[in-house]
Amino acid sequence: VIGLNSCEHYLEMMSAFMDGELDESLRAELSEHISTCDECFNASLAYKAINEAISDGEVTPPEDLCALVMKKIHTSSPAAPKAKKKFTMRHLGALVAALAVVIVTAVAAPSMFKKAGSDEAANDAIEASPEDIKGSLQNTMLDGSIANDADQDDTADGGEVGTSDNKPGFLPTLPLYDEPSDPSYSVSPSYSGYDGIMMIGPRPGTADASDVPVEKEEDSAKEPLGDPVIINDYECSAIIVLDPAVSPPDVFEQYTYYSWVENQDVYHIVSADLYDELTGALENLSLSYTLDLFSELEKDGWVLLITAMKE
Amino acid sequence: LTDELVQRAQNGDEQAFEELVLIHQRKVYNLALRITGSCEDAKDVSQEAFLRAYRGLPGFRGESSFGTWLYRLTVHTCGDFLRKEKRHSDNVVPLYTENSDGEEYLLQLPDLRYTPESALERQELADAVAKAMDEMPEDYRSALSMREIGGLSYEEIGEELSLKAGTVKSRIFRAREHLRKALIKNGNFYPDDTTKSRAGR
Repeated sequence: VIGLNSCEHYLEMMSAFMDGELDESLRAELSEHISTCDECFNASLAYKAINEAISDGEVTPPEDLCALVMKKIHTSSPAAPKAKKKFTMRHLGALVAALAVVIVTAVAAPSMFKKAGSDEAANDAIEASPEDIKGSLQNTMLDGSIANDADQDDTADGGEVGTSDNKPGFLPTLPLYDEPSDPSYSVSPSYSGYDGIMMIGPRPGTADASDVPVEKEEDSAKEPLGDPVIINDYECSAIIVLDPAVSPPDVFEQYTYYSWVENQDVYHIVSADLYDELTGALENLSLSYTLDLFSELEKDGWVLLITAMKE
Repeated sequence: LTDELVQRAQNGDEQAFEELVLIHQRKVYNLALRITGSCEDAKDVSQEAFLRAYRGLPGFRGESSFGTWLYRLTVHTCGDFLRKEKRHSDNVVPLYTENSDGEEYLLQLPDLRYTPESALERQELADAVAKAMDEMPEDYRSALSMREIGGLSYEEIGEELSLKAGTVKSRIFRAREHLRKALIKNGNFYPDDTTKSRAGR
């Protein structure tokens, strides 16, 4: 009599076999067992029946599904995939590679920056009333400052990227591409089609950011800033800083999956949903929610800023 | 044909994309339906998946077939959806974990033989399986749906779910076992004379 545990082993093999995933060397063994064990034989019939039933159980999708999809495309996507210049994720890869951390003052969350330089300031900012922040957002003050991690080698694909500029009132020059200029560039081979800029980095002061000169932010963050800046036809009011070299904190897990980004190394940090949530929150001035989200992320050691984009 | 449509869609041809939607909507919808377990959710998720596909088209480089790419994307989208759902309902407790149902197998199972003889029986079984899948833990449902409906390999499923292929294998096996036991309990699989069934093979 063959023990049930042993049968479980064979049933698992059977399951894999049905999916074409059983190692060839094990097939004879499985076949031998099935031919002598009635239980496994019956179970294998059940598996087959289940497989067929799953196909039989497929239903016709709702009639209006396709129409709804096309409608959504028209209403929520500003343009066809290649209809306009985009700052794509591929470019982001280049940008992020070139920069250890990019920090741009977020109008909605000055606390983020102050935190970067001083905990005291951060506490102040966290206590700021939503009205204060809302006012700040409505003024759409903006400052850009990129802390280039000192002449990294990787500027070939985005020479302008690293430009450090603390002058208030405008964003640093960002690379605008139609197509990647360097086809061999391999940091993020599958990135594409992202109409924004998302970057997240370790909070300065935490392990990986010790050498980033973020202190500069403290001054510029307090200054009144200029109008929103247009990047690639988008009005940007802030930028998320992202560093794919750093594993995401747990809190990020629930916002994971930037679905069409296939590169495993990075996709789990970049999130379409998070992006949607944050930009949506900013645009609708749901500040308390945005700030909650920000502080949630911040607790995990992340500086998070965002581009709020409009056509 | 699909390749051509994809190319056209990548160049901004919306009509081509629409055709792709029509071709793939059945799979996408059923995949979403199996994973989310709700028609309404499946409809929403399918739309979102296609929307993401549209936006992500420039990134599709033909490393896999468009279908595989799209189904993986659908699974991602389902995953996002379920994670959001989970956030709103903390009381979801997994029925059991991978390693805790070894004991369950000690249950003596009757000999069974499934012989669907009519379309009606087939439909009944399909309904029963669909129902049992809905009641199955999400982890199992996703993996099995990706395999059976999406046609993804263990490796591809592993990439989607951040699991090793070995874990995928085990999860799919457990999903099948889960279904088999549910169908036995439900009376969809009925005992048969083992000797007879073997003779008929």
